[in-house]
Amino acid sequence: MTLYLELLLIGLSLGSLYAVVALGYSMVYGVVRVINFSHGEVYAASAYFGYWLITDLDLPLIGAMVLGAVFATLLIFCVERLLFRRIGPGQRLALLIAHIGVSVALRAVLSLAFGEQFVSIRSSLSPPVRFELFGVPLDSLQVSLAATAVLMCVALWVVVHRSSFGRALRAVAEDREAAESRGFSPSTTIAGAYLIGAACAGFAAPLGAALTELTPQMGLSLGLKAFVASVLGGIGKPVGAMIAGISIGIVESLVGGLWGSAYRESIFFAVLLIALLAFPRGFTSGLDPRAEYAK
Amino acid sequence: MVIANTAFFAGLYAMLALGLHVSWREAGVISLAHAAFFGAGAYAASATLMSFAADQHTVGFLPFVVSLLAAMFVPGIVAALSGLLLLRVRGDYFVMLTLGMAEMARNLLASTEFLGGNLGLRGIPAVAWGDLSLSAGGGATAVCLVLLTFVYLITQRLVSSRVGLAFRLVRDDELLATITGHDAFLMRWRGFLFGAMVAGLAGGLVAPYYGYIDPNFFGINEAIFLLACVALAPVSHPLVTALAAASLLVLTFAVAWLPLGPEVVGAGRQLVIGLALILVTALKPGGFAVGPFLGRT
Repeated sequence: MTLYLELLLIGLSLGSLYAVVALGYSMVYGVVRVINFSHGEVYAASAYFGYWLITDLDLPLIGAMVLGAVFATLLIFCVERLLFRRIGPGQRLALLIAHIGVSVALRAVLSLAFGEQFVSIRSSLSPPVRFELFGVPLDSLQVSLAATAVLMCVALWVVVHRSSFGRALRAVAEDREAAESRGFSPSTTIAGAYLIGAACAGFAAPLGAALTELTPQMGLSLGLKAFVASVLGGIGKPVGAMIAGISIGIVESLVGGLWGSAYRESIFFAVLLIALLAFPRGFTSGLDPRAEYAK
Repeated sequence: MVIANTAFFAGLYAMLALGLHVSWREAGVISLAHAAFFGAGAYAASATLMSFAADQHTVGFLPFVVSLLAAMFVPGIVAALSGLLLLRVRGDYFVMLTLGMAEMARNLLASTEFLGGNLGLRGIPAVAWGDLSLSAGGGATAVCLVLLTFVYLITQRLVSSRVGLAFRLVRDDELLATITGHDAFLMRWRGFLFGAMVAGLAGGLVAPYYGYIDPNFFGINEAIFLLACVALAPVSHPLVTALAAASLLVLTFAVAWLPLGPEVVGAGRQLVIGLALILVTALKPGGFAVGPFLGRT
């Protein structure tokens, strides 16, 4: 029984990470209808930035998180301004390829700067508070990550549903041209969505990095799983993305713990593919990603 | 030797790009699983060659031909079956699904012990007949170029035939295609299948080249590289695509010729690919003016 509980709590922790990254995917996909391929790499870059801040500059974790958010926001601001904005609204394929290019280039830069071996932040941080919950060992870092995910989700929900920017987001997501004719600015709204998504990822990245090891390839698998989470949770719905992210984390943890890690990824992907094919609109019936949008 | 090696891979990737060209630029099916089909073909060919070899280290022409057939057949079956499922969705969604499938395939191959596991399949017999050897060297390059010509001619004929017209119609205006009696799903499936089989054929060539294959080679990075090869073609013509692929390949190989350390080469190549993709979308955003999930342009 303790094993299940332990796997469950590990899954919660892992899932919180997926949820945070999924929030960013959800935001952007809602308005732009393009998979934010570069999002995973923005997370990874922020994580490495945090690593550098903590190990070389001896910053506390919370400082690294705040600066990580700033870094991610600046990074995506530059990329969006210089590249994504140049690609017109009808060119979703070109935008997708641009995203892929940014993702590949970022990954290469990280690999060149930090090398391919795993690095860890844990050794540079003060040891976290450890305690036990129902006989399962936990530490304050894991709890912080889960708390961060929940807080971000609530914050995003408030932004999307209770702010004027959120209204713009929903309007542009639903019908770009109509929104434009009503006075909303799609390009500003889209830029805002990118920035918010990146800020979330950048804030959580150093914390997530403290829990796992860093490798330049981490953006890829994280990105893929977080994308699935954002689709399953319903596009544009922060709560859905969060629930789906945590579910995926739990499923992955259980599968890995019960069936061993050899075929873990394969089984996991098979389950995901089936879930995606069966529930393309997600469990909470968000926007339909299969539909063709003439925007 | 370097030239022969580079020429071999340039030809190989031109072949792969032609397959993806038919799938993507003609039929509108953007598949990131292409690398997985490449890998599946390589593994199928290797298994065939090894079963022919028994105790020898070299096999001849006939086993090679059989291995090529196996290399086309196995990915073909996989593409046929998975295509039935995956082709029901479109756009970026399909791209992600193929990505997931490719990662799954790579993970399966890397985890299966009797296929060599994570270290790859070793001991693939060399192929040789007469004076020609298919291990790394001039002979392999010659055979590759012959096969490339063959694939190119078939692709060219396909593209300029009524089938090619049908592909493009289904890609551009599915409603019109359906009204005029085409089965859009079936056409996309066929395009997908053609791409997969060509990728498998390329895999069959690569298997005897080094004598071993590494499953991690056929992953996301490879899939993105293939995507880049086709994306860089400014005009949607098979010859241009083949040339673009060959040029990109030579460019990435050129990174290895620079006096940088060997650890840096892999990342350097990825950087070249990423920058190429960024440049091509920044400078010519209308360059991919055809595709099923663009709005009416």
